[in-house]
Amino acid sequence: MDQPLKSAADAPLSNATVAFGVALGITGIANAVLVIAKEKSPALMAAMKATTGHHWVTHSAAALALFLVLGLGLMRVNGGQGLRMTAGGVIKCLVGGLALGAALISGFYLLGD
Amino acid sequence: MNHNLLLMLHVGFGMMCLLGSLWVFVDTLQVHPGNLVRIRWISAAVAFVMWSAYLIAGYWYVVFYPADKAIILKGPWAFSHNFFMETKEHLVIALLLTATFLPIAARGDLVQSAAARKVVLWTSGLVMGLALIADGFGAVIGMGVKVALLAH
Repeated sequence: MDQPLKSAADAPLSNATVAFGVALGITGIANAVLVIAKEKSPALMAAMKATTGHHWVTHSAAALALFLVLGLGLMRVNGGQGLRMTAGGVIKCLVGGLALGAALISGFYLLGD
Repeated sequence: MNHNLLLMLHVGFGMMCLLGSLWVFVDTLQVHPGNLVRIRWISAAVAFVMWSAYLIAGYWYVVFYPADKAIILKGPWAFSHNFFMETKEHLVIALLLTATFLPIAARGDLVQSAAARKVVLWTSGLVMGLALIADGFGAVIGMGVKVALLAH
């Protein structure tokens, strides 16, 4: 049976992992901000409905587009070498972003709407 | 296809996403050259089934849910739409993107890099947690329809 490997030398994270990890955290927050904005602004809600026929479809497309654009964009910074972050930094960014986004969405519908 | 079967297909894909992310989490804890390819394939499968669940749910939500929503809002569990559905429909966007990120993170050198392993463990754990929330919220929404119909 193969034994799990625990190496002393640690390879850095790939450019794509860092870039899309950070993009995920940012998009998690932006997703929540868009929820609050469209619920509070009838004009924005109407525009989102008019764009695709349903506000949720527009919302999904916007979040996906932001995630992809941010991820691909962050891969190209530093002359194409991408962001330099430790695993802890990436994890803090994605967990923090998703947790804050989830708290904002659930808190808004629980208290604010 | 019957729209109720479509809804069950959505739940089935969601459960596969949850179980797949659990598989990735456990396999990554014991990663070695022999299971690295499997971790990457299961990670890709998690993203695939989550996209399947999402697209089916999106179609169902846009086309069929307005009728259920009207029933729920007339019943005693209006909160199952006002809080649970409203929250779920936006939280699953984060779940979709996290599941999409999982195969990207799993492409790292999980055998040699503790950093890459940590990111995959956290990501698969987040997919599990968010999928569990989505599943539980879905159950409450279904009960919202049921109690509204029973009340009339």
